[in-house]
Amino acid sequence: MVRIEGISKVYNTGLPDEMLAITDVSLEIGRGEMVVLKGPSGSGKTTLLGIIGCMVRPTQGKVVINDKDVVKLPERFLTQIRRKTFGFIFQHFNLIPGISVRENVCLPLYPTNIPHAVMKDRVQAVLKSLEIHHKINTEVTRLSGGEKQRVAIARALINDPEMLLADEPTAHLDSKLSEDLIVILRRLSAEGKTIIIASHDTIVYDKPYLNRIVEMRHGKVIDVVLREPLPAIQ
Amino acid sequence: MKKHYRILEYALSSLLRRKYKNLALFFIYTLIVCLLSSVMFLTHSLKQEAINVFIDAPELIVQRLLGGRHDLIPLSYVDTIKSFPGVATVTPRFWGYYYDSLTGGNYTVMALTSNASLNLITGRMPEEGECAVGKGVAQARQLDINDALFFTLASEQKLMLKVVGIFTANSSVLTNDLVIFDKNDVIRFFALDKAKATDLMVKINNESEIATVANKIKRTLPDTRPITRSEILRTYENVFNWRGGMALVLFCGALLAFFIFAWDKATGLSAEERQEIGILKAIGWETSDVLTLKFWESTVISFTSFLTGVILGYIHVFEFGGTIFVPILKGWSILFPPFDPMPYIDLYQIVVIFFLTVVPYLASTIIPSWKAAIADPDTIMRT
Amino acid sequence: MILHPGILALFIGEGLVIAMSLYASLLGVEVLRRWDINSSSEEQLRLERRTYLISTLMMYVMFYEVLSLFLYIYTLDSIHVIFVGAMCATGTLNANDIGWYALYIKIIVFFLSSSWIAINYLDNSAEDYPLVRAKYKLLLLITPFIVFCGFLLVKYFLGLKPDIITSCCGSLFSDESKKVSGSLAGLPIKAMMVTFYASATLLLPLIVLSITLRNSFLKYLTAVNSFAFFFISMLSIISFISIYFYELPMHHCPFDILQDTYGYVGYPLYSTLFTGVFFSLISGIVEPLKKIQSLTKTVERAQKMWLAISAIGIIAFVTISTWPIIFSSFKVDM
Repeated sequence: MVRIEGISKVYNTGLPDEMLAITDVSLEIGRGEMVVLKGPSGSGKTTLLGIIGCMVRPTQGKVVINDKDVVKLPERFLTQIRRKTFGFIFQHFNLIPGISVRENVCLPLYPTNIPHAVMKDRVQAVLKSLEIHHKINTEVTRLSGGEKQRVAIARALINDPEMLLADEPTAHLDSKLSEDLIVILRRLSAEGKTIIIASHDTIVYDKPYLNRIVEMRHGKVIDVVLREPLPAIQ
Repeated sequence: MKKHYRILEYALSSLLRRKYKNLALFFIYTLIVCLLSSVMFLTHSLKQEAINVFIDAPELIVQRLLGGRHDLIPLSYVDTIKSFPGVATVTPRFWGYYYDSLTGGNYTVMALTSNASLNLITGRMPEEGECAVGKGVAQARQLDINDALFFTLASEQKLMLKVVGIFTANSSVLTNDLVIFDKNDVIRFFALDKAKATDLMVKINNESEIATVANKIKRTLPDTRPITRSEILRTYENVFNWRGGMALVLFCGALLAFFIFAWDKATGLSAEERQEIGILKAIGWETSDVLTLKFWESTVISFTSFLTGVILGYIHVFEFGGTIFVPILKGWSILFPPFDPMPYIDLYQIVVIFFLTVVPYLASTIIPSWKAAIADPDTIMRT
Repeated sequence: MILHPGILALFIGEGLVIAMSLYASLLGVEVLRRWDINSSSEEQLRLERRTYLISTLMMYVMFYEVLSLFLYIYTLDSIHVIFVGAMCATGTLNANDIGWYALYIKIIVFFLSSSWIAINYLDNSAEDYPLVRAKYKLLLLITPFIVFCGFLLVKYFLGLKPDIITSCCGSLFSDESKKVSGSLAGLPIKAMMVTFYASATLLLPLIVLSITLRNSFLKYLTAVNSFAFFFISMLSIISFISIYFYELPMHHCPFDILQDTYGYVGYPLYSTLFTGVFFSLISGIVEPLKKIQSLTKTVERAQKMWLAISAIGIIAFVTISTWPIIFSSFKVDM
């Protein structure tokens, strides 16, 4: 599914604020796995997540997604791959204020030529599966934290991605909501989606059903813990 | 196509969300378009008006020049000109200007000639001791049939005439300032030389011979100046183009200021907008999609402001008589008593206004839009 | 010099477009020099993003060229009054030869910039951007045309001297020789009609064949034919199509049909012709690009679409031009 070989990323090359975000990272993640990138802030988790998600182009190395080398692809095509393959959940929800839940969730589909009817059905389905369907016409700033989180997940799922990437998804949630989120993610994983979470929250990485825990520090992978996947929850 | 439609829809909602910023832009944009279209509409209708004055003018007018200035022309020239082949009739005209101190207007006083295309509303054309007035004059002086009208130039040049007719002409200028006397009254009133006329009106059988005849007149009677109708029209066209152009040049400063303002608006993205574009890029919008979004935003702003501006300009000129610009553009305002421009819609004018406002505006948004659109997709993850 | 709002608008527009195309070329030069698709450096990413700006600029340039073509003709028409003997835009153009050149160059610039956009479209669909270099070289070729066009336009309008009343006498004695030229209009109507319909009946089946068959030669043949058709059509408009619209046997002006008196029929007439010809031409021009592996499929798909548009355009054009010939009561002796 995703194979990364000898990746490095340097920001602002040649400038005084040059920054080495990650060095020589290799990783392979299979279909349907649930993986946590663990490490303190500044350890390069987010950059790695960005590279996997085709948002950031590595300075060096190879990124193969579904057997396609994407490092040299121009942004235009990277975006296309990203749109098809990935769903993103961000730390701050990053919903666009002032518009409704429906519009926020549909946003990733706007620049595609998907028919309106299909789009409509998909929003309904996704929101229903996340039990937030009753808020479909609510303006997003009126939602509670937990609801916002669900809308953010719905948005990540609207394009039916194979892979879900989450960047510190529990940073702004209390422990109850964090648990809820994990349950949702676990269910999605059970449905066959590959899930990669960057987090330094124990609630996330202390879970027994994670397939893989990648520990990072100073831009390097220092430890990978592999676990036997547990049977999916009912 | 669906893609464009949806992005347009989103552009609309995004404009509405930033109501205040965009309203400010909309107002200034509209104001600029409104001012510009007022200038254009007004110049055009003034030009049209001036041209209407001459549309019924004779094909050829012969004036006499003395010391480079217009002088009275001897009636003896009539027969000379009449003898040229191709000339149908030669009619002397007697006319002059009269300043009416009561209304502060300038009237054109003219002797009755056969070809005047005036439409009498009431009454008849004057004989000696009588006069007919344009509807505008009648209104200004509150005249009715059989009222007496007093004209005075100097102690020995005064006339008390009975109004026997009220007329309108094809142009509102004539309607508003023309007074028709009998020929003898004109000669007496202006103390004209009995053997001379103000100018000569020449009628020519074949239109294609006008130039030849004019040429011949000029050669035979070197102290005359033949003027053809097409020349007058051309000159007016040019004068008004020049005036409209000058007004535009003066206006350029305002336009420029506006485009700098627009540039600034477009460049100075708020943190919120930057964040929004960051989100869009992160969730799968491509640079060109954001560019499309920005394009639609500026197009929507442009077209709404443009349409509103043009409509307001139209109302300003044709409903309120272009109050703001009339003094600048009319210039010889004394010659133009009340002036009500005829409403018209001319596609060309609208196209020109479009080129002067929308084209530069759109051009000034390209680079700022692009700068916004190339944001790194991972911006929002890094903050 | 004539200070006319339309002329001012054109000056401002040309100035903007020249600035935009020069800027685009400047950016293009840097892309040409530093482009390296295999690099994943930040530099390359910056160049990549720059290409978006260049294509946006060019897109605007193209739209401007289309619109300004009409504004130009419209303006010529609106100022014809001030020239002796000028009855319409043709008369204004005849006042000074440069006007014609500006018009021709404008049409060329329109075709060039549209081609650039078409090629850009193809290039953007291949992951390795195989045409980057060719594209920016083409851009460097187009820019001088744009600058030259603007230059001619400004020179033309600055050189115009209105025939107005001077202090001593009317102007008409100075310039009687200026008469609207009638050489093109003198083309024999019947022969022109035969040529026009013959070339249309040749071109349409060619386009249809080009859509269905993969033959390269056919594509070139179609392109060449449509190119010829363009000129034949222009001549036909002057020679006989226009007079059927005007219902005046001697009025051959190719511009008056753009006026509201004739229901603005010139706009659909010219736009269908330009569309039809352009899309046939471009389908031929991009034919060699099929050899580039990453483009083969896109080019084939695009060609099919373009040729279909071209066919529709040409059918529409022929229909519009034939309409008055069949349905108007006006008849010309041939």
